[in-house]
This record gives sequence, structure tokens and C-alpha cells, in this order.
Amino acid sequence: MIRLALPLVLLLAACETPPPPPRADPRLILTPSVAGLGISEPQLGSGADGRLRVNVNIFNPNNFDFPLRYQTDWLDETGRPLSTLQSRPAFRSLARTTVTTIDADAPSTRARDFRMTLDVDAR
Amino acid sequence: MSLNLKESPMSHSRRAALVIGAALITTACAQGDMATQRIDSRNDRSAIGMGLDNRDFEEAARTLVRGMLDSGRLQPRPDGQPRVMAISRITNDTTLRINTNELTQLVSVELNNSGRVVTTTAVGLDGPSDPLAMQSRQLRSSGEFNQRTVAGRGQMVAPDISLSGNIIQRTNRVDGGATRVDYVFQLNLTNIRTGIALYQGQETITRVGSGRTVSW
Repeated sequence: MIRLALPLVLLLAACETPPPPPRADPRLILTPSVAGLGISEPQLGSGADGRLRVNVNIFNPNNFDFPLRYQTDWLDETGRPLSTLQSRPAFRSLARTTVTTIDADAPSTRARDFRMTLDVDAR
Repeated sequence: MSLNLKESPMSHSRRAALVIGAALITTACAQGDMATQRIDSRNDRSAIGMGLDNRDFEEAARTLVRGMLDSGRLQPRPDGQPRVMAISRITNDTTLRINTNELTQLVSVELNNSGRVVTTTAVGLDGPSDPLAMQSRQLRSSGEFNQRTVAGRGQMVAPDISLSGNIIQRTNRVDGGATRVDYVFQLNLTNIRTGIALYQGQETITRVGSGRTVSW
């Protein structure tokens, strides 16, 4: 009986789908062009003045500097983006084989949440 | 004596070649024309030049305002009201023709939206940017206006900080015949009562491009 049950258990274990990877933070929007970069979960906090701040660490494993274009929308309590210069596109050159911290500050205490888009600067 | 009006076959082919050549050149030129496009300023990926465009002013203003807010020096007035800022002199030390209002407007709007600072348009280095606030006081002597709706004495709020700065350009030849242009945006916030700078910041925007490209 055990001889029969053991292969069955092993078969069932093999068929079991592996657990899905942890879902990435939906507030971080990654275009396919940045798929090769190592991107941390965003760390959201607030400064002494109560404005939200977000940090994202990005590891560039390539042997070339990566031209990053990122844009941070700051959302009010109703989810609408605040009209601010802080949501204009910004550019960073990610140095090769190292980690760069991308940080953004909310323009005022009205901001309740954020949405950051990471893309390549293809100009 | 009669003129020979007949053209030789050679001249025919030469003329045809000329016509075809002209047509090709015209077509090539026409294809080089770019159709007019509308650009979303929030997603502007159009080409850049060696000069400054609005994206550069926005980037400079964004970085400098962030520095001002992060400095922790823009505390409210003792009565809890936001600071009142007047626009002082912004010097354009570049070869470009720049209306510095483009920079000061971006900075003052962003600071106003932060809730920390309001801007007075009734006081300015070369006179108020809006002279009507002062001129409307002349209505006090007019019997045509309800005097309760006319601004009274002592209602204007004096500025306690001033915004000044420079835009500087430095152009250099670099290896390979290219040209490097650095545009340095410097802004200062000065406490008018004490004359001490509350904030001093600088943001550099750099271009490297063809040496044939001019930046004016």
C-alpha cells in the first residue's frame, strides 16, 4: 500500500503549481526597457514637515551607464494627481554595476500617495 | 539664312536628365520637412538643442524648489501665516535671450502650492509686477465708489523674503571637436529683515553636442 501511495504523493507534489512570486508594488510602473535592472520595493516615509518622501534603489548590472527617465505623480486623497513641477520627468544616469537611489519628495502635505514610472531615456 | 529649330536627341536627353534631377531634389527636400505636431508638455520626448527650452527651466525650478523646501528654513511667520516673497533681480548672463519670468513664475507657483510661501506682486525691484494694487488706492478720493469696497490703509503685507539669482553660461570645446555648454541656475532666498540668505542653491544643466551647433 505504501509502495503505491508514495509515488502518488510525489506525483501530486510535482503537479502542484509553485507559489506565485510576490506581487510588485503597483505604484511602481516599469516599462519593458528597464526589465534588466534590479529595482527594490519603494520605501515611503514622511519628512519632518509631514511631506511624503519615496526612495527606490536601482541596481544597474550592465557594463554601461543606463539613461533612466523617471516620473513621480503625487496623488491627493481622492487619487487625483497634484499639479506640480515635482511630477515632471527627471533624468538620471545609472552608473554601471552599482546601486543608485532614486528619491522623490511630495510638493506639499496634500499628497497622500504616489505613482512612479521608470523608463529608459531614449533621446 | 534659316534657323535650325530642331533639337538634337542629345539635348532632349540632357533636358530630361535635368528635369528628373530637379524633381528628385524637390522630393528630397519635401521629405525633409517635418509635419507640425502637438506636444504634451508632461510627456515631451522631442529632440533637444544646445540652447535652453522649457524642459530645462522646469527641471532647474523643480530641483531648486525641492532644495528650498528640504532646507527646513522656510518656516511660517510667527503668526502662523506663510512667508511673503518678493521677486528681486534674476540676472541673465548667457548668450540666450531669456525672459527670467519663465523661471521666477515656475518657482513662485511651486512655492505657493507648497503652502509655505505666498508671493507679493505689489512690491518689486523695478516696481510692482501688478501696479493696479497700488493705483486702486486712488479710488479712496472718488465719490463714485462705495468706500467700504476700497482697500483701506495698512492692509498690504510687506515681503519678508526676496528671490534673486543668476543664469550663467559657460561654453567649452571638448575632445573630438564637440562643444560643451553648462548652464548654471543659481537662486537665493534672502531674509529681508536680516539680509541673511535663508537658502542658496545651484543647478547645472549641461549639453554636449556638435561644434557646429550654436547656442544662441
